[in-house]
Amino acid sequence: MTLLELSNVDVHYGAIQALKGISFKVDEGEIVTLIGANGAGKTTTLRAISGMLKPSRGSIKYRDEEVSGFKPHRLVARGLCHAPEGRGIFPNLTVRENLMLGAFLRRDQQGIEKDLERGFALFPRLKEREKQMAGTLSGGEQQMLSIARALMSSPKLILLDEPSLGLAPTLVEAIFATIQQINKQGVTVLLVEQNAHLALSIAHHGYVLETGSVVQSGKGEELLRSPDIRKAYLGE
Amino acid sequence: MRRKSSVAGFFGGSAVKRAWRGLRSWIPFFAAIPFLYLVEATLASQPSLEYAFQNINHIGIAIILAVSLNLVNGLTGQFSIGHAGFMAVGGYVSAVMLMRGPAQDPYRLFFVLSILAGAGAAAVAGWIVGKPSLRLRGDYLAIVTLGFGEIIRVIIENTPFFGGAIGLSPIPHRADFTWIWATAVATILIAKRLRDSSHGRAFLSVREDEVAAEAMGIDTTAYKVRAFVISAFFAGVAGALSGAFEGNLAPQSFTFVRSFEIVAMVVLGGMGSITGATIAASVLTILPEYLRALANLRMVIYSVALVVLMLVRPRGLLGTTELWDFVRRRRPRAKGKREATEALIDVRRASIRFGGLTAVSDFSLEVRPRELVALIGPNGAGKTTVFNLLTGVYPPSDGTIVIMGRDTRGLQPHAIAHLGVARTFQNIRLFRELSAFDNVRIACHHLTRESMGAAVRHGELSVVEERWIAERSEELLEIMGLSHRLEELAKNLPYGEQRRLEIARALATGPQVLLLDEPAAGTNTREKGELMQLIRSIRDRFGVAIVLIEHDMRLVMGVSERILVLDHGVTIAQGLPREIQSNPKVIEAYLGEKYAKEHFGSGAAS
Repeated sequence: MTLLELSNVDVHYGAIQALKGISFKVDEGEIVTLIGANGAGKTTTLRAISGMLKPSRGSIKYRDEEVSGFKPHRLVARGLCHAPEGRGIFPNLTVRENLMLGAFLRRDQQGIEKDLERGFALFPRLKEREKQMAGTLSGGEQQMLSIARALMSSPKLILLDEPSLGLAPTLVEAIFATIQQINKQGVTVLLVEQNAHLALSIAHHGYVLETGSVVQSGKGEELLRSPDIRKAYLGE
Repeated sequence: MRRKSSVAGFFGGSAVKRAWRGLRSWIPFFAAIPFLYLVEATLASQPSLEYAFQNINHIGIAIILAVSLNLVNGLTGQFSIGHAGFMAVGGYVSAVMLMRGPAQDPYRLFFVLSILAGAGAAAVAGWIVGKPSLRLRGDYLAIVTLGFGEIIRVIIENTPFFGGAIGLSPIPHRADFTWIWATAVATILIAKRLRDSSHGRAFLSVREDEVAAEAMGIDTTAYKVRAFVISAFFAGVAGALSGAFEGNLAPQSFTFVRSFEIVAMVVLGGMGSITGATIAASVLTILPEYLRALANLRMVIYSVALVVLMLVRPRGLLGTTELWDFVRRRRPRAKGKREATEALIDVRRASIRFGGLTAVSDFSLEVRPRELVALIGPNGAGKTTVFNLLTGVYPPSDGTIVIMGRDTRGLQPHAIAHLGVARTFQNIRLFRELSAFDNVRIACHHLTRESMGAAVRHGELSVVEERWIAERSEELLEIMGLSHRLEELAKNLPYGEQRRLEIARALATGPQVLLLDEPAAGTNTREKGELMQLIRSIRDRFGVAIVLIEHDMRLVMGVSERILVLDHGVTIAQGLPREIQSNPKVIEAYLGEKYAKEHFGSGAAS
């Protein structure tokens, strides 16, 4: 079943057109990845979906509802959550408070506790720093916090913008394992990632963006085998 | 070096040409005077226009106030609400002089003297208030200036010498339409000159990001104080003109309400826009006058109008744009390059503790010229903290850091930048609301010699330097592959390009050591390969040493000659890339068994 569908979406920054008629869809239960060079429009696409940017044209359908132009908080209430690039943590709140804010709209105390434990199990470093101000965390730790916080909203669809950014090699492996794990628990994942090899190897579907348009799409492993892709994005 | 040749060009030019250059830029001012005089001579004496002229003069004074406050609240991003206090200082000093001075004032030379004395007194007051409070960040300045304004008013009210609560009267009428408006034109010109100069960009950098500005070698405290003192000076001028125009001064006109009116003009105009401040000063001065017929409703409508205007245009009437942005679109051009020398960084057993937590302990590092050193380790190991120690953001709790043969104890970040250490930031700290070009130009600032005076006069030195800065900045942006983004706002660049812009900006400070904090984050595999080439070519082309923090092992192993590994603030290993790859401690703490096997074919300690 289609969970999210974009049709002919345009986004402008002032006079500059960042997205030129983007169309793609994400089926429920899938991991879908967007790959492409810097400036191709990957982050912009995620920002348009989660309501941080307003598309100038086109439609964004989430669970059969037209959500284009919705404010982010309305989308979070519908189970669509975005862990943005640049982290956006609350520096003067503790790690725990940051995580609890991720669960702001939830009322199931037990579920919240369970997800909190899951987050700490995933990132033991956050458990160590539970009572520390988030602003004192290192860059990589803030990245962990951002992902853990997004998971706290118990999302149906999670948008992850470069989850491996600034993380040590061991942690990158751990994060990708977690993404697969939460996906198996029924969370649909839309993933933007510069590490195209890793992203395509866990994704069901991939879309390749170039200067604001989708230029290629296919199953994860197909794209991984495609000579064009290997040359352009995998550095071969 | 290019700077020398620019100076040679300055002294080489003929004196006449130089004088002409200086004067040429003041043509608008000199052209305005006869025009203003003509208007006054023909129109101001007509009784039917008396009221209109009174308003027009009030507008002129409001413009001086708003444009000068804009320097602090708009350009430099500080929040002062004591402008009326400085206005009062200037007004009263000038008025006392005029009332005791000669009855006849040929050419009004004594009047000019009294204006300068009043403005000077206001500037001194500005320095006294600003020096201690501008060192602090945040809202302290607002509270201090609010208090200052009130203190001044209370002092005046209780001092018979200043006329007490009744005020001073009669003050000789020396200021008229021509004087007020010529001063307003001069104020706008000076503000524009400052805004367009390298100093103006230094003001903006303080507003955009103080930490980054310091790292670019800009003494942020000094620039805040300068903006504040200049602004106070012009508030004093406005006060002196106001007294000599109205013929009386009363403390009631200098309450904090007056200060807020001026703040409203700056905010409504668009923080930082001189044109906007000018227009808003006119609108907000004239609006209550034309609403006078509505009696009690007047202030209600004025307030509602203010609220509506801010709702409709939340960034102010003009945002940060200027009238002349629409008129001309040219960039100055020029060229430059620097050489590196010897002995760069020497850290001996440095430690830093935050509260009970030791973030980095016993850290030693020597960086030799043209070296490529990498600093790796798990997240939270203290790598960025090491950069913060090297650049003076934190002083070490123990140990010494010697840069270019100089102990850096007690040095501010901008002073360390001057020694030749430049950095990029892991979390990207560009001046977001400024163009890519301006971001790089700001970083050239500490290499320039022009004074603020030269910038205001627009003398030849400043023109030559502007060209040099522009050419250097264009060249750096080209090297970093950003030529096509010159005029784009930094915040609109994609992530990877923002990182490259940070490198261009760091290089613009003319460093001998470049500290790169995760330059490859947010770039794909192919771009990482390009970055590797770029890092090598930067080293060769600029002769800099590079210290690199990075998690991409292909990049780290590919470019670095030497690697240090940190874990929990402790240096657990250092050596050549291949030694590090097979070091069991590093594999355990950082690389991971699986990763090391797959990528380096080296297992654990077997």
